[in-house]
Amino acid sequence: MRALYYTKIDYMLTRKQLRIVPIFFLLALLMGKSASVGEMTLLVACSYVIFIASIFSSAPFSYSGGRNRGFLLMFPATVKDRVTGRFLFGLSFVGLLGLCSAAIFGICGMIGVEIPLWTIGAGLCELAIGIVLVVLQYLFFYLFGEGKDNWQYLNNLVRTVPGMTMFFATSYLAGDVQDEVAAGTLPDLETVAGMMMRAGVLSMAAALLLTVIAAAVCAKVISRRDYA
Amino acid sequence: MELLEVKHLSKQYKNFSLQDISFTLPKGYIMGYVGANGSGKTTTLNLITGIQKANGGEVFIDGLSREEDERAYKGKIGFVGDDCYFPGDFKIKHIRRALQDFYPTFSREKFDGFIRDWKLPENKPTKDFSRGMKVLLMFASVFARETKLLVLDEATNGLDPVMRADVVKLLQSYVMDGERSVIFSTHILSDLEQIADYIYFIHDGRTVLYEAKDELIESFLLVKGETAKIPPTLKKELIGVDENAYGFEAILPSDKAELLGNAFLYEKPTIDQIVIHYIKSA
Repeated sequence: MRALYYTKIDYMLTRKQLRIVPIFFLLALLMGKSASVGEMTLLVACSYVIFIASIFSSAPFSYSGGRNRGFLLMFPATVKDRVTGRFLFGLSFVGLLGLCSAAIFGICGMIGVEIPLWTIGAGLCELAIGIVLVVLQYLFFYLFGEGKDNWQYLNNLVRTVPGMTMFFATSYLAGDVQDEVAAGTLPDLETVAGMMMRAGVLSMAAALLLTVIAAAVCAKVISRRDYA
Repeated sequence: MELLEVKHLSKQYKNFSLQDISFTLPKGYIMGYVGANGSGKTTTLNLITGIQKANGGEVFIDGLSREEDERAYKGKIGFVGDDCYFPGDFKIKHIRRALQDFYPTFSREKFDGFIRDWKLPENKPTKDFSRGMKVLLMFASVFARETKLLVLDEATNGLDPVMRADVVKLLQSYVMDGERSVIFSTHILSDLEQIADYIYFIHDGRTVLYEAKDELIESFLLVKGETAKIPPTLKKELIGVDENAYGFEAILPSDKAELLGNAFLYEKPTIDQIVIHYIKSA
């Protein structure tokens, strides 16, 4: 329960930043709407949402260093509670933006954009990658960068580069795959929709398992440190 | 019955080490933890609260160590630091919400009462609070729930005299029921004169003095006189000799009073004077 209280504090800490997330959601929705020119654009919109998730989910680290640290450390809770709470924040935030992606699919479907079944499996895979990116960021912050104000530049890179890379890689791949499907060098992706769905579910399960392991490792490592 | 037991606490850094700090604080009493800047006061208090981890030694609050039950241990502590630890963007409503979640004994009525009485602004983020308001907010967050030990780290620094007097009164009423205790570090030694029952004096990470305040004051004399008249037997007993154009001032253990003869003036020292002369002698 105390872990959830820490999650709640993380939402309160980052509330100002989170207020601008709907703007990014609208941008992603516009991107998805243009899927009429190619269904791959839906996945690019999803990867954009994941990119946003990876940036904002590490925001609490900017607020929990320095003088604010005492506030979090003095609560009657263990390091495990605090770390679990932070991971739950990351997971729930990616989950919320995952729901935004689902909403993009839904809204686009309602306005007449065709939603192929395989894109749902691919979307799940993207979400799983998003979770993995966030987990890796958290590992970095907890094991190397938490509270190190002079690491600001590196911290900013860790916050932005992975998500950005995923977004551009998806955009690049999407264009490539679409061209190859059109040229007939790749089979129609709808024929592998079942396989894509299984891959999506499996990758989600693996990402969640990784989250649990990473949270346990972080709690173990930082419990020996001062100010942790 | 001891509320706080600190046993052989040590902490090593590259350029500083806290060595073998041991003391006890009975229920219902206030301890002043004093020393110069960098002497290890904050480190000790951080080791007690568990913010920092000791290299050796143990701390028990009401018989419970942090290792036994970290949640219960931390729940017994109320901490007020010299710097406001509430996130600068938080308003009082956010702090209230967090405290309500974490502390089952948190009383919203008490908290709101303090906020009203001290006229703390509800709609301003804490970063816009004055230094005094920040300290009062930390006190409100601590006094609105049940704690056993109040740990204050230079909490009265920067407060105006009226506000400091209010805080001193609050501390006295906090220990009134005989079940709770306070340990506080401060530079303002006049606060100690008023309320401390015990004095722990630390210098360079080591214990210098640890006594009940009244006994400590009784056990020293403040000596003044002409420097030239100090006999060698007295000179080696004087602590922190401060020479000036008019003579010298130092402290002397009371049991060495017979060395003074009639050539010197002496009186009971204040805590301030004992500490200053000890620091001078170090």
